[in-house]
Amino acid sequence: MMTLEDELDRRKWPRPPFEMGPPPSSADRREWLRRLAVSDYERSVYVSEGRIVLRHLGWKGVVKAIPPGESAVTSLAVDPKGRVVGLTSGAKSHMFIYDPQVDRVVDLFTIDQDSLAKNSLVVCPDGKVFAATRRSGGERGPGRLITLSLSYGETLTWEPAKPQVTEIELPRRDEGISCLAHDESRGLLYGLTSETGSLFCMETDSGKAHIAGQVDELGEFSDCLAVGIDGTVYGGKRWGGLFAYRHEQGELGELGLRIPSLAGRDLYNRVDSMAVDTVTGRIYGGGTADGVLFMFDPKEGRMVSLGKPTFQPRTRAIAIGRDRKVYGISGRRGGCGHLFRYDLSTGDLRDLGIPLAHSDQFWHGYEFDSMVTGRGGEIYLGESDRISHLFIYYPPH
Amino acid sequence: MNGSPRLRSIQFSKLPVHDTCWSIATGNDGRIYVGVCGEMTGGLGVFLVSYDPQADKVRYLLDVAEALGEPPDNGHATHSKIHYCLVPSDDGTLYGATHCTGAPLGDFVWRPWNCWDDPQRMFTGFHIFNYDPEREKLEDFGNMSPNEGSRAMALCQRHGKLVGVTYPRDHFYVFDLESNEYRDLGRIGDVNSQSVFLDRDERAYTVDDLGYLVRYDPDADELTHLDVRLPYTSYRDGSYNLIYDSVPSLDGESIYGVHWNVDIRLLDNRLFRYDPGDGPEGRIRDLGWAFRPKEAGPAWQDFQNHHTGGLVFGPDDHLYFSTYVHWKEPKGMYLIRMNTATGEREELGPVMDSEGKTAEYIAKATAGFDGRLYFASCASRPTCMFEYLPEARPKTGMTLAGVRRWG
Repeated sequence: MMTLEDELDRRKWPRPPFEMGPPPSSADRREWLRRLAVSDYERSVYVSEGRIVLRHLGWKGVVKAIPPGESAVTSLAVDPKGRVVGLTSGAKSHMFIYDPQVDRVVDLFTIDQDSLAKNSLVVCPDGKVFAATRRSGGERGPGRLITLSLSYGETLTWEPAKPQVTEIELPRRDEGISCLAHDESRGLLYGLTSETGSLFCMETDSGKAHIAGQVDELGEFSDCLAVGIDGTVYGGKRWGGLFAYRHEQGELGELGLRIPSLAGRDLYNRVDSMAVDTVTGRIYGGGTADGVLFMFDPKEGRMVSLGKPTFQPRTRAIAIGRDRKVYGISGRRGGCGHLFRYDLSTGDLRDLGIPLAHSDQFWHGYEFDSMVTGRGGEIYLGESDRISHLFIYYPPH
Repeated sequence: MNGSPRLRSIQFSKLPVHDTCWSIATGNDGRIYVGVCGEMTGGLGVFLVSYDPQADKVRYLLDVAEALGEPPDNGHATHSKIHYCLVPSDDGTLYGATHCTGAPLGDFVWRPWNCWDDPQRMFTGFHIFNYDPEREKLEDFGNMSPNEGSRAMALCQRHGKLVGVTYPRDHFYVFDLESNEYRDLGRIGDVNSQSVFLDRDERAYTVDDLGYLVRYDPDADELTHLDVRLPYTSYRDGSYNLIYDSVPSLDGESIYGVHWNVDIRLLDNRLFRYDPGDGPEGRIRDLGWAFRPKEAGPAWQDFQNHHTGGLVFGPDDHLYFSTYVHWKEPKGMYLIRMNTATGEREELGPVMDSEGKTAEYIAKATAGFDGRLYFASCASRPTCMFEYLPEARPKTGMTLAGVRRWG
């Protein structure tokens, strides 16, 4: 019987593409070309258009960042002063503020434990904040819905006073909140309850609330909502379907449209994220199953597939930049997410690559679950990992 | 120039294209086991090789990738390495985990990020396996985490657990040897630490990107980020001070370690001692630059390779390691001996055999039961390990009890 050693003597080995040691002179053209290609190959997978930085979720060097396991940034919003407010999910949910003017993050307070706070943050023009959670484990209650007012001095000290928080009665006592959305012009807060997917509506001034109804008969719904420029609320239901709620009429119904997916995969698909283009009123979003980007035009009742920007499923977060481009992030849980861009003027859809920051720290951003556009056109990406940061993407001019 | 007569290279010539040896361990049978890796040529799988010091014989034990059902010509990134993941067990077997970065056959480069979602070129995910050299029996525990390799691993023998860190996402994992359950405890950093070490209670340690210790307690099943930090030079901020190599002290109470000069930037190259029992989180003591005589000049003035690896205690109770010397000819890896009681270092010369074969990079080291020291060498074809014969002989025969249980 032939031993491994005998077999090794006869084995044919692949030819090494590179010699050991320092790079050869350019006279060895084949190897020289390969070495150049390696360098391009390594760079090409990362976002190279524009700049990416990250900020720790704490005042770096002064206060410790929000701890591992509590730092996944799952909700982001911009306040009237241009500061970015965020919520985290995990063993604890924190509320934090990043102030671009002083360039630091301050961890404000813990709002819940064993909780998920996805797309569950609203900041009103008067600075009033609504935040909500749902349970991600354990059995200590369903979650929270709270409101508070920001003082605008929070980021000037490393130990800000905990804001005065007012508890709001949950629309359904035994359910947390899956997501929130805001109709600024009408002063209405919308949300979905976490178990039955019941859509509720609350007046932000009076706190008067009512439940509009359950958005999906099978309880399959998306944890995001979009408020159109006419005040209609849109959300995702089972198999890629959409629902709409018109407050004035009190009508909640199915739209009869499906967001796009690859063929045969409707059953796995749900709206993953949505953003409203306030210029045209169109809604951009992506699906869970295949990460196909779509445009929904409420005026025309038209759904358009814009293509699949990356190799990956999902569109975990999306935002519309001030440069008239849609930015999104794809990638499955435990995967390696890519940032993509859709140019509203040219229709160019492009995979920009993996967000890799070099400042404040060299760090690959693999997972993101929230995104918002800053006042200056910068895009904030909420990293959603065991150790997470606030990424800031500055698109090219 | 010829090297010291006390040094010789042991080449793995039946694997002429393989180029690196990242893992090395002494087995219960006194043999030296090496993972012979092929990372710079597409289509190579890792081999497990042993060296019998008594018979002076190399044996090619296992085509690991093939045996795990991951043939290197299957179009995927290859199971090209056993990185710092070859660990001897009390029962005479070895635990190992495979690793990536070897390109698929026909490709000349592969990176995990570029192929993450490529169903063909992706890395299928590291295997954990057990190999019994006496019975020549392999037990494959299967793929653990798709796309990822295992960078470093340790065996908590009494707790029946393997613990390690994955690459590239730098997640900490625990594999239960009784239940065969793999658990991912989540991300601990970005730039992988190169060592997971154990204290006497089998608590496992590694570091995050800022050099803070991360501790896993197998009794509590808890991962904790400690306030204890690896040392760093005053003009740096301590970022990326990752650990490269570590070895238990002779009394088992402390751990000696050294920084990794990760290739994204050249960093500190300091030795340190960690005393896990000194206070609730233990205490780090800075032992200064690993080896830097006056003639090297101040460290801040150069951007040279400062790699140090191959930490191992010799039969004279001194700490041996290999460090890159750039300040004199011949440049390259030199062998250093350190008296840990006094801190005094002594240069023993370049890692070069009597025929002039040198080491470009020394990864890790292990001690044979007869007191000889073995250094895993990287970046040569065929690849090799170096054997060093210290002047002192062991006072008593060494056993597996003195061998570290991490890669």
